[in-house]
Amino acid sequence: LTIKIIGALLILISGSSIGWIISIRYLYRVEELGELQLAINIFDTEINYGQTVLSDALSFTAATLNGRLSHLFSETAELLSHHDGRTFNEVWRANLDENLYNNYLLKQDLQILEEWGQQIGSLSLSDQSKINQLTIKRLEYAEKKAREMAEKRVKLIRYSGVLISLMIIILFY
Amino acid sequence: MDKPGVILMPVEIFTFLPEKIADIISGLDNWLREELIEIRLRVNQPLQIITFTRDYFLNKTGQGVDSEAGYLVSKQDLEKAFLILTRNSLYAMERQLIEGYITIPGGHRVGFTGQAVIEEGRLKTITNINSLNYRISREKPGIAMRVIDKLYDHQGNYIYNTLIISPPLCGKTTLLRDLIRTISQGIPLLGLKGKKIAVVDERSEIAGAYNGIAQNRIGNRTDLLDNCPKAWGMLILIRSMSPEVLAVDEIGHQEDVTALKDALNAGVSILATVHGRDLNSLKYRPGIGDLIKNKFFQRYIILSRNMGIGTVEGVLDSQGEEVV
Repeated sequence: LTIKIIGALLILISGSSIGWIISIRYLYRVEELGELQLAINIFDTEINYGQTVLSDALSFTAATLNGRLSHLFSETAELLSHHDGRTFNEVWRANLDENLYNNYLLKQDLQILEEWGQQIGSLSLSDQSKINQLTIKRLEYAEKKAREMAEKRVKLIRYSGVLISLMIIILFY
Repeated sequence: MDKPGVILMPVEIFTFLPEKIADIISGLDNWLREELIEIRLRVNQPLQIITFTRDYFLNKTGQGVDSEAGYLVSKQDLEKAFLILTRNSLYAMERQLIEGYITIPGGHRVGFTGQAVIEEGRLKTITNINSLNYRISREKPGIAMRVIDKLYDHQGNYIYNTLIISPPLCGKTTLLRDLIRTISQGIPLLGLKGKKIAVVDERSEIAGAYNGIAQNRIGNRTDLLDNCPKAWGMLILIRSMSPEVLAVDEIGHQEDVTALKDALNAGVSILATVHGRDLNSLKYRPGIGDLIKNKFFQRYIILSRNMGIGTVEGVLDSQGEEVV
């Protein structure tokens, strides 16, 4: 009986954990979309008021972010400062691909970042700022949608994890 | 392998060229790289280099060929080159865009042309860049020795106010840089003691500064104010650094001339350069012409390319007479 109880508990804990792990991706995505808006805001302020060169502005931005996204910005800054003949867009795109699995963003979120990267560095100060503001708006919208999705799915997935575990326990025992 | 002691094309240039072009230039024979003074990229035109003696069109492997067989520079090459040059930060270069050139580490100047955008009757920026000209700057330690003795008042122990005059590409900045270094270090053999010298380097071409630190040799007694407009810079340095000599490159604007007058009146010796063919051609130019007529300068060095870049045509006194 003890073994049965321990087994049931293990199934329950595992199922709930799987549900919890899947659901947390939705919450982290919301968090990351919010952080990206902050990052682009900081970047925009840095280039507008400091007229800082891109690699320095990206380093400064990276310092204000958490590990996952910070890496994306700091690595780009590092590569740009090496002057290896690549443009920002080339470095940024390669880094987005490399960091694809280091964050919780979806393809459509990365698309916003990729399009941002296509225009950064090659425009005048005022046009650059417009692109930053537009990107922030797009990220805001993506965050709103992500939040709505999270509200709908997080509880559902967590409950599903628990319920599926209970179902397996009943079936087995 | 490069020969020791030979001044090849400075390597930092390669990092500011698009990969394809950098590969072609790195394929050049060493003797050509020693002689290189300009690399020219024009949209849909063959890649061109200019040396001390002639120009060449280059093919994909860096061989000199007829223009028809040269590597055609594409619009993408130009766009990429321009992005690299601006360090992907066009927004931070708006002042330079109006000037028509960007200076890269090492003091190399990259000029450009394209489509001018005029706003309220003034040049706002240049877009759609169609041509780039990489002008390679080289240090030539020792060239100041040709003239230094004529610029020095041994009795008064001071440097005469000196203006270096020449058309573009005759070595004005190179001579100025070496004069700064020489005056700063002093020449014990000639009895010249080193002097405190302050440099306003508006375009980072004299000291080739990167992040404010001089990359070229400008002497141990030299204070550098980098990336500062000349007129402001001269006044700041006179007030703050008590220089014995003040050096500036390419004076021309009225405000530069006003600041120079202030410096001259403050008892500081001036070393300056200006674009011009000879002394007479400058006398009628507003601003600088007044300084010449009023004999503010005691020495004029006239440069040309008659016997190669940096040919000293003469050192004149304030009367326009050759100094013997």
